[in-house]
Amino acid sequence: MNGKEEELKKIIELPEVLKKVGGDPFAINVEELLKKINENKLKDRVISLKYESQALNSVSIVIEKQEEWVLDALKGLKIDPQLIKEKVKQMPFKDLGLILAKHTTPALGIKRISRERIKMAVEYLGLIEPWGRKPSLGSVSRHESEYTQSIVFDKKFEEEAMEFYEKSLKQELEKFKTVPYKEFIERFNEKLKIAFYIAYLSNIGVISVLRNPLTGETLISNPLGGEFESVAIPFG
Amino acid sequence: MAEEELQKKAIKALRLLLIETSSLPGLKGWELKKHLGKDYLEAIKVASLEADRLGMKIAIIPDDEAPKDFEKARFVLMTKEPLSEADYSRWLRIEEIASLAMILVEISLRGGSVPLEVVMRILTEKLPRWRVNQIIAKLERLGYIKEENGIVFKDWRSKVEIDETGFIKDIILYRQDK
Repeated sequence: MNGKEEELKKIIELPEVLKKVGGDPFAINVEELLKKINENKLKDRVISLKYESQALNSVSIVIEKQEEWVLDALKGLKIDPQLIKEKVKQMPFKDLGLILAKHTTPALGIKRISRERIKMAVEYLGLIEPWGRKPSLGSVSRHESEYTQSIVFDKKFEEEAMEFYEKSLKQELEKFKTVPYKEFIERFNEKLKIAFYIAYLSNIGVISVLRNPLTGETLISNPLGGEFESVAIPFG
Repeated sequence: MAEEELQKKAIKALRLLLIETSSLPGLKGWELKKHLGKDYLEAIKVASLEADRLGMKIAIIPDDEAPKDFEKARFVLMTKEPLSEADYSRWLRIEEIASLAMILVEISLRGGSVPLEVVMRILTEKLPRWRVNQIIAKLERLGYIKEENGIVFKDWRSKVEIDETGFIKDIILYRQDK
Protein backbone atom coordinates (compact mmCIF):
# COMPACT_ATOMS: atom_id res chain seq x y z
CA MET A 1 0.00 0.00 0.00
CA ASN A 2 1.53 3.34 -0.99
CA GLY A 3 1.46 6.57 1.05
CA LYS A 4 -1.47 8.05 -0.82
CA GLU A 5 -3.56 4.95 -0.30
CA GLU A 6 -2.66 4.99 3.41
CA GLU A 7 -3.77 8.60 3.78
CA LEU A 8 -7.12 7.81 2.17
CA LYS A 9 -7.59 4.69 4.34
CA LYS A 10 -6.98 6.79 7.44
CA ILE A 11 -9.74 9.16 6.37
CA ILE A 12 -12.08 6.25 5.62
CA GLU A 13 -11.53 4.82 9.11
CA LEU A 14 -12.03 8.15 10.89
CA PRO A 15 -15.70 7.65 11.93
CA GLU A 16 -14.83 4.30 13.52
CA VAL A 17 -11.88 5.85 15.37
CA LEU A 18 -14.08 8.71 16.53
CA LYS A 19 -16.68 6.24 17.78
CA LYS A 20 -14.09 4.23 19.72
CA VAL A 21 -12.08 7.09 21.17
CA GLY A 22 -14.89 9.63 21.56
CA GLY A 23 -14.01 13.27 22.15
CA ASP A 24 -14.41 16.41 20.18
CA PRO A 25 -15.29 15.84 16.49
CA PHE A 26 -14.28 19.45 15.90
CA ALA A 27 -10.70 18.43 16.52
CA ILE A 28 -10.94 17.04 12.98
CA ASN A 29 -10.39 19.67 10.33
CA VAL A 30 -12.87 18.85 7.58
CA GLU A 31 -11.34 21.33 5.13
CA GLU A 32 -7.99 19.65 5.62
CA LEU A 33 -9.51 16.22 4.96
CA LEU A 34 -11.11 17.39 1.72
CA LYS A 35 -7.79 18.84 0.64
CA LYS A 36 -6.07 15.54 1.37
CA ILE A 37 -8.67 13.60 -0.64
CA ASN A 38 -8.04 15.87 -3.62
CA GLU A 39 -4.27 15.64 -3.30
CA ASN A 40 -4.06 11.86 -2.90
CA LYS A 41 -5.49 10.68 -6.21
CA LEU A 42 -4.30 7.16 -7.13
CA LYS A 43 -2.97 6.11 -10.53
CA ASP A 44 -5.67 3.49 -11.07
CA ARG A 45 -8.73 5.60 -11.79
CA VAL A 46 -11.27 2.98 -10.70
CA ILE A 47 -9.58 2.30 -7.36
CA SER A 48 -9.02 6.00 -6.88
CA LEU A 49 -12.73 6.70 -7.37
CA LYS A 50 -13.62 3.89 -4.95
CA TYR A 51 -11.32 5.27 -2.23
CA GLU A 52 -12.42 8.83 -2.93
CA SER A 53 -16.11 8.01 -2.56
CA GLN A 54 -15.48 6.04 0.66
CA ALA A 55 -13.36 8.87 2.07
CA LEU A 56 -16.01 11.46 1.19
CA ASN A 57 -18.62 9.29 2.86
CA SER A 58 -16.48 9.22 6.01
CA VAL A 59 -16.11 12.99 5.92
CA SER A 60 -19.88 13.35 5.68
CA ILE A 61 -20.24 11.08 8.75
CA VAL A 62 -17.77 13.28 10.64
CA ILE A 63 -19.77 16.39 9.68
CA GLU A 64 -22.95 14.65 10.80
CA LYS A 65 -21.29 13.87 14.13
CA GLN A 66 -20.23 17.48 14.48
CA GLU A 67 -23.82 18.60 14.01
CA GLU A 68 -25.08 16.03 16.52
CA TRP A 69 -22.45 17.21 18.92
CA VAL A 70 -23.55 20.84 18.57
CA LEU A 71 -27.19 19.87 18.99
CA ASP A 72 -26.36 17.91 22.12
CA ALA A 73 -24.41 20.86 23.39
CA LEU A 74 -27.27 23.21 22.78
CA LYS A 75 -29.91 20.92 24.22
CA GLY A 76 -28.43 20.93 27.65
CA LEU A 77 -24.72 21.29 27.38
CA LYS A 78 -24.35 17.50 27.52
CA ILE A 79 -20.75 17.86 26.53
CA ASP A 80 -17.65 17.81 28.55
CA PRO A 81 -17.55 21.32 30.01
CA GLN A 82 -13.83 20.97 30.40
CA LEU A 83 -13.50 20.83 26.64
CA ILE A 84 -15.21 24.19 26.16
CA LYS A 85 -13.27 25.70 29.04
CA GLU A 86 -10.02 24.57 27.45
CA LYS A 87 -11.08 26.04 24.13
CA VAL A 88 -11.91 29.36 25.75
CA LYS A 89 -8.63 29.35 27.63
CA GLN A 90 -6.66 28.85 24.43
CA MET A 91 -8.61 31.32 22.31
CA PRO A 92 -6.94 34.65 21.54
CA PHE A 93 -8.68 37.53 23.36
CA LYS A 94 -9.68 39.22 20.13
CA ASP A 95 -11.43 36.11 18.75
CA LEU A 96 -13.26 35.58 22.03
CA GLY A 97 -14.38 39.21 22.04
CA LEU A 98 -15.51 39.05 18.42
CA ILE A 99 -17.63 35.96 19.07
CA LEU A 100 -19.33 37.63 22.02
CA ALA A 101 -19.86 40.85 20.08
CA LYS A 102 -21.43 38.87 17.24
CA HIS A 103 -24.13 37.70 19.66
CA THR A 104 -24.68 41.01 21.41
CA THR A 105 -27.45 43.45 20.59
CA PRO A 106 -26.79 46.45 22.81
CA ALA A 107 -29.40 48.41 24.72
CA LEU A 108 -29.71 51.98 23.48
CA GLY A 109 -29.71 55.10 25.55
CA ILE A 110 -28.86 58.72 25.01
CA LYS A 111 -27.60 60.78 27.88
CA ARG A 112 -28.86 64.34 27.90
CA ILE A 113 -26.53 67.17 28.63
CA SER A 114 -28.13 69.63 30.95
CA ARG A 115 -27.96 73.34 30.26
CA GLU A 116 -25.81 73.79 33.33
CA ARG A 117 -23.33 71.16 32.11
CA ILE A 118 -23.06 72.79 28.68
CA LYS A 119 -22.35 76.10 30.39
CA MET A 120 -19.65 74.44 32.48
CA ALA A 121 -18.15 72.91 29.33
CA VAL A 122 -18.10 76.24 27.53
CA GLU A 123 -16.43 77.91 30.48
CA TYR A 124 -13.90 75.13 30.66
CA LEU A 125 -13.16 75.36 26.93
CA GLY A 126 -12.55 79.05 27.40
CA LEU A 127 -10.01 78.36 30.11
CA ILE A 128 -7.89 75.59 28.64
CA GLU A 129 -4.90 76.18 26.44
CA PRO A 130 -4.80 74.55 23.04
CA TRP A 131 -2.73 71.36 22.66
CA GLY A 132 0.94 72.27 22.52
CA ARG A 133 -0.20 75.90 22.05
CA LYS A 134 -0.44 75.31 18.34
CA PRO A 135 -1.56 78.39 16.45
CA SER A 136 -4.06 76.37 14.43
CA LEU A 137 -6.11 75.79 17.54
CA GLY A 138 -5.57 79.26 18.86
CA SER A 139 -8.55 80.58 17.00
CA VAL A 140 -10.82 78.27 18.94
CA SER A 141 -9.40 79.47 22.22
CA ARG A 142 -9.48 83.13 21.24
CA HIS A 143 -12.94 82.81 19.89
CA GLU A 144 -14.08 81.02 23.01
CA SER A 145 -12.63 83.50 25.46
CA GLU A 146 -14.50 86.30 23.70
CA TYR A 147 -17.50 84.18 23.38
CA THR A 148 -17.73 82.86 26.90
CA GLN A 149 -17.42 86.38 28.25
CA SER A 150 -20.52 87.49 26.49
CA ILE A 151 -21.89 84.37 27.54
CA VAL A 152 -23.77 81.97 25.85
CA PHE A 153 -26.73 81.56 28.08
CA ASP A 154 -27.82 85.10 28.45
CA LYS A 155 -30.76 86.48 26.53
CA LYS A 156 -28.53 87.58 23.69
CA PHE A 157 -27.30 84.07 23.08
CA GLU A 158 -30.81 82.69 23.13
CA GLU A 159 -31.92 85.31 20.61
CA GLU A 160 -28.91 84.61 18.41
CA ALA A 161 -29.57 80.87 18.53
CA MET A 162 -33.22 81.34 17.60
CA GLU A 163 -32.28 83.73 14.82
CA PHE A 164 -29.79 81.18 13.54
CA TYR A 165 -32.51 78.55 13.62
CA GLU A 166 -34.98 80.74 11.72
CA LYS A 167 -32.44 81.77 9.08
CA SER A 168 -30.26 78.72 8.59
CA LEU A 169 -31.93 75.59 9.84
CA LYS A 170 -35.69 75.85 9.80
CA GLN A 171 -36.10 75.91 6.02
CA GLU A 172 -33.74 72.98 5.53
CA LEU A 173 -35.60 70.90 8.07
CA GLU A 174 -38.90 71.73 6.39
CA LYS A 175 -37.45 70.69 3.07
CA PHE A 176 -35.36 67.62 3.98
CA LYS A 177 -36.82 66.54 7.39
CA THR A 178 -33.32 65.63 8.60
CA VAL A 179 -29.97 67.37 8.11
CA PRO A 180 -26.64 65.55 8.62
CA TYR A 181 -25.06 67.19 11.67
CA LYS A 182 -21.44 66.97 10.55
CA GLU A 183 -22.03 68.25 7.02
CA PHE A 184 -24.15 71.09 8.34
CA ILE A 185 -21.54 72.25 10.86
CA GLU A 186 -18.81 72.05 8.20
CA ARG A 187 -20.56 74.76 6.18
CA PHE A 188 -19.79 77.41 8.78
CA ASN A 189 -16.56 79.09 9.77
CA GLU A 190 -17.52 79.37 13.43
CA LYS A 191 -18.10 75.67 13.87
CA LEU A 192 -17.96 75.64 17.64
CA LYS A 193 -20.44 78.48 17.91
CA ILE A 194 -22.84 76.66 15.61
CA ALA A 195 -22.38 73.49 17.67
CA PHE A 196 -23.42 75.47 20.77
CA TYR A 197 -26.45 76.80 18.95
CA ILE A 198 -27.46 73.30 17.96
CA ALA A 199 -26.88 71.94 21.46
CA TYR A 200 -28.92 74.79 22.89
CA LEU A 201 -31.75 74.46 20.34
CA SER A 202 -31.84 70.75 21.00
CA ASN A 203 -31.86 71.29 24.74
CA ILE A 204 -34.88 73.59 24.61
CA GLY A 205 -36.70 71.24 22.23
CA VAL A 206 -36.71 73.37 19.07
CA ILE A 207 -34.86 70.61 17.22
CA SER A 208 -33.75 67.06 17.97
CA VAL A 209 -30.31 65.60 17.46
CA LEU A 210 -30.34 61.89 16.78
CA ARG A 211 -27.67 59.30 16.31
CA ASN A 212 -28.36 56.33 14.11
CA PRO A 213 -26.86 53.47 16.16
CA LEU A 214 -26.30 51.33 13.08
CA THR A 215 -24.44 53.84 10.92
CA GLY A 216 -23.11 56.11 13.63
CA GLU A 217 -24.39 59.13 11.68
CA THR A 218 -25.70 62.09 13.67
CA LEU A 219 -28.74 63.89 12.28
CA ILE A 220 -30.59 67.08 13.13
CA SER A 221 -34.36 66.78 12.86
CA ASN A 222 -37.53 68.51 13.93
CA PRO A 223 -38.31 67.75 17.57
CA LEU A 224 -39.59 64.24 18.12
CA GLY A 225 -43.21 64.36 19.26
CA GLY A 226 -43.10 68.15 19.15
CA GLU A 227 -42.65 68.55 22.87
CA PHE A 228 -40.02 70.42 24.78
CA GLU A 229 -38.01 67.32 25.34
CA SER A 230 -35.01 66.59 23.22
CA VAL A 231 -31.45 65.42 23.23
CA ALA A 232 -28.14 67.15 23.01
CA ILE A 233 -24.93 65.54 21.80
CA PRO A 234 -21.37 66.16 22.83
CA PHE A 235 -19.85 68.66 20.44
CA GLY A 236 -16.45 68.28 18.83
CA MET B 1 -57.89 54.56 22.19
CA ALA B 2 -58.00 56.43 18.88
CA GLU B 3 -55.42 55.25 16.40
CA GLU B 4 -53.84 58.68 16.09
CA GLU B 5 -53.54 59.07 19.84
CA LEU B 6 -52.01 55.63 20.14
CA GLN B 7 -49.49 56.48 17.44
CA LYS B 8 -48.54 59.67 19.29
CA LYS B 9 -48.10 57.75 22.51
CA ALA B 10 -45.98 55.15 20.73
CA ILE B 11 -43.60 57.83 19.44
CA LYS B 12 -43.47 59.37 22.89
CA ALA B 13 -42.70 55.94 24.34
CA LEU B 14 -39.77 55.53 21.94
CA ARG B 15 -38.42 58.92 22.90
CA LEU B 16 -38.78 58.17 26.59
CA LEU B 17 -37.00 54.85 26.19
CA LEU B 18 -34.17 56.37 24.17
CA ILE B 19 -33.27 59.10 26.63
CA GLU B 20 -31.59 57.87 29.77
CA THR B 21 -32.95 59.37 32.95
CA SER B 22 -30.94 57.20 35.32
CA SER B 23 -27.77 55.18 35.21
CA LEU B 24 -29.69 52.39 33.49
CA PRO B 25 -31.15 52.55 29.98
CA GLY B 26 -34.91 52.32 29.45
CA LEU B 27 -37.70 52.74 31.95
CA LYS B 28 -39.69 50.67 34.39
CA GLY B 29 -43.29 49.82 33.48
CA TRP B 30 -44.66 52.09 36.19
CA GLU B 31 -42.67 55.03 34.80
CA LEU B 32 -44.09 54.44 31.32
CA LYS B 33 -47.56 54.19 32.85
CA LYS B 34 -47.02 57.56 34.52
CA HIS B 35 -46.07 59.20 31.20
CA LEU B 36 -48.36 57.35 28.80
CA GLY B 37 -51.39 56.41 30.86
CA LYS B 38 -52.83 53.13 32.00
CA ASP B 39 -52.94 51.70 28.46
CA TYR B 40 -49.16 52.06 28.15
CA LEU B 41 -48.76 48.44 27.08
CA GLU B 42 -50.88 49.14 23.97
CA ALA B 43 -48.61 52.07 23.15
CA ILE B 44 -45.56 49.86 23.65
CA LYS B 45 -46.96 47.34 21.16
CA VAL B 46 -47.27 50.07 18.51
CA ALA B 47 -43.87 51.48 19.53
CA SER B 48 -42.37 48.02 18.91
CA LEU B 49 -43.60 48.14 15.31
CA GLU B 50 -42.13 51.62 14.84
CA ALA B 51 -38.85 50.50 16.42
CA ASP B 52 -38.74 47.51 14.10
CA ARG B 53 -38.88 49.81 11.06
CA LEU B 54 -35.86 51.69 12.44
CA GLY B 55 -33.77 48.55 13.06
CA MET B 56 -34.51 48.51 16.77
CA LYS B 57 -36.57 46.42 19.15
CA ILE B 58 -38.08 46.83 22.61
CA ALA B 59 -37.01 44.25 25.17
CA ILE B 60 -38.88 43.65 28.41
CA ILE B 61 -36.70 42.58 31.32
CA PRO B 62 -38.81 41.01 34.06
CA ASP B 63 -38.15 41.95 37.66
CA ASP B 64 -36.45 39.12 39.56
CA GLU B 65 -38.87 39.43 42.48
CA ALA B 66 -42.06 39.81 40.43
CA PRO B 67 -41.43 38.28 37.00
CA LYS B 68 -45.05 38.59 35.84
CA ASP B 69 -45.56 42.21 36.88
CA PHE B 70 -45.15 44.49 33.85
CA GLU B 71 -45.07 47.60 36.01
CA LYS B 72 -41.95 46.35 37.74
CA ALA B 73 -40.33 45.13 34.51
CA ARG B 74 -37.79 47.28 32.70
CA PHE B 75 -38.50 48.25 29.09
CA VAL B 76 -35.36 48.79 27.02
CA LEU B 77 -34.80 49.92 23.46
CA MET B 78 -32.20 47.81 21.66
CA THR B 79 -30.64 47.39 18.25
CA LYS B 80 -31.92 44.43 16.26
CA GLU B 81 -28.55 43.73 14.68
CA PRO B 82 -25.54 42.62 16.72
CA LEU B 83 -22.45 44.75 17.10
CA SER B 84 -20.21 45.03 14.09
CA GLU B 85 -16.45 44.73 14.40
CA ALA B 86 -16.19 48.50 14.01
CA ASP B 87 -18.64 49.10 16.85
CA TYR B 88 -17.36 46.69 19.41
CA SER B 89 -14.19 48.55 20.23
CA ARG B 90 -16.35 51.49 21.34
CA TRP B 91 -18.36 49.17 23.53
CA LEU B 92 -15.77 47.70 25.87
CA ARG B 93 -12.02 47.22 25.69
CA ILE B 94 -10.90 43.94 24.17
CA GLU B 95 -9.72 42.44 27.47
CA GLU B 96 -13.01 43.47 29.08
CA ILE B 97 -15.09 41.75 26.40
CA ALA B 98 -12.91 38.65 26.55
CA SER B 99 -13.17 38.57 30.36
CA LEU B 100 -16.94 38.89 30.12
CA ALA B 101 -16.96 36.06 27.59
CA MET B 102 -14.92 33.84 29.91
CA ILE B 103 -17.16 34.59 32.87
CA LEU B 104 -20.32 33.92 30.84
CA VAL B 105 -18.97 30.58 29.62
CA GLU B 106 -18.20 29.55 33.22
CA ILE B 107 -21.65 30.65 34.41
CA SER B 108 -23.37 28.77 31.58
CA LEU B 109 -21.39 25.59 32.13
CA ARG B 110 -21.99 25.68 35.87
CA GLY B 111 -25.75 26.09 35.53
CA GLY B 112 -26.15 29.80 36.26
CA SER B 113 -23.54 30.83 38.83
CA VAL B 114 -19.84 30.65 39.54
CA PRO B 115 -17.84 31.36 42.71
CA LEU B 116 -16.00 34.68 42.54
CA GLU B 117 -12.74 32.96 43.45
CA VAL B 118 -13.05 30.77 40.34
CA VAL B 119 -13.64 33.86 38.19
CA MET B 120 -10.59 35.49 39.75
CA ARG B 121 -8.47 32.38 39.16
CA ILE B 122 -9.45 32.10 35.49
CA LEU B 123 -8.96 35.76 34.73
CA THR B 124 -5.71 36.18 36.64
CA GLU B 125 -4.24 33.46 34.42
CA LYS B 126 -4.53 36.00 31.61
CA LEU B 127 -4.44 39.42 33.28
CA PRO B 128 -2.88 41.06 36.36
CA ARG B 129 -5.04 40.98 39.48
CA TRP B 130 -5.49 44.76 39.68
CA ARG B 131 -6.85 44.78 36.12
CA VAL B 132 -9.16 41.85 36.85
CA ASN B 133 -10.57 43.75 39.85
CA GLN B 134 -11.16 46.77 37.62
CA ILE B 135 -12.87 44.72 34.94
CA ILE B 136 -15.15 42.89 37.38
CA ALA B 137 -16.15 46.20 38.95
CA LYS B 138 -16.89 47.68 35.51
CA LEU B 139 -18.90 44.66 34.34
CA GLU B 140 -20.90 44.84 37.57
CA ARG B 141 -21.49 48.57 37.17
CA LEU B 142 -22.70 48.11 33.60
CA GLY B 143 -25.11 45.37 34.65
CA TYR B 144 -23.44 42.43 32.92
CA ILE B 145 -22.73 40.45 36.09
CA LYS B 146 -23.71 40.66 39.74
CA GLU B 147 -21.96 39.27 42.75
CA GLU B 148 -23.77 38.15 45.88
CA ASN B 149 -22.00 36.51 48.81
CA GLY B 150 -19.00 35.52 46.75
CA ILE B 151 -21.11 34.01 43.94
CA VAL B 152 -21.24 35.60 40.47
CA PHE B 153 -24.44 35.56 38.40
CA LYS B 154 -25.49 37.01 35.06
CA ASP B 155 -27.14 40.39 35.49
CA TRP B 156 -29.91 42.00 33.44
CA ARG B 157 -27.70 43.26 30.62
CA SER B 158 -26.18 39.86 29.87
CA LYS B 159 -29.64 38.31 29.98
CA VAL B 160 -31.16 40.77 27.56
CA GLU B 161 -28.27 41.71 25.26
CA ILE B 162 -26.45 38.43 24.74
CA ASP B 163 -27.71 35.44 22.79
CA GLU B 164 -26.17 32.78 25.00
CA THR B 165 -27.06 29.82 22.77
CA GLY B 166 -25.46 31.39 19.71
CA PHE B 167 -22.45 32.46 21.72
CA ILE B 168 -21.75 28.99 23.17
CA LYS B 169 -22.41 27.40 19.78
CA ASP B 170 -19.80 29.61 18.14
CA ILE B 171 -17.31 28.83 20.90
CA ILE B 172 -17.83 25.14 20.20
CA LEU B 173 -17.47 25.67 16.47
CA TYR B 174 -14.42 27.89 16.80
CA ARG B 175 -11.24 26.78 15.08
CA GLN B 176 -7.95 28.47 15.79
CA ASP B 177 -6.78 28.08 12.20
CA LYS B 178 -9.75 29.97 10.74
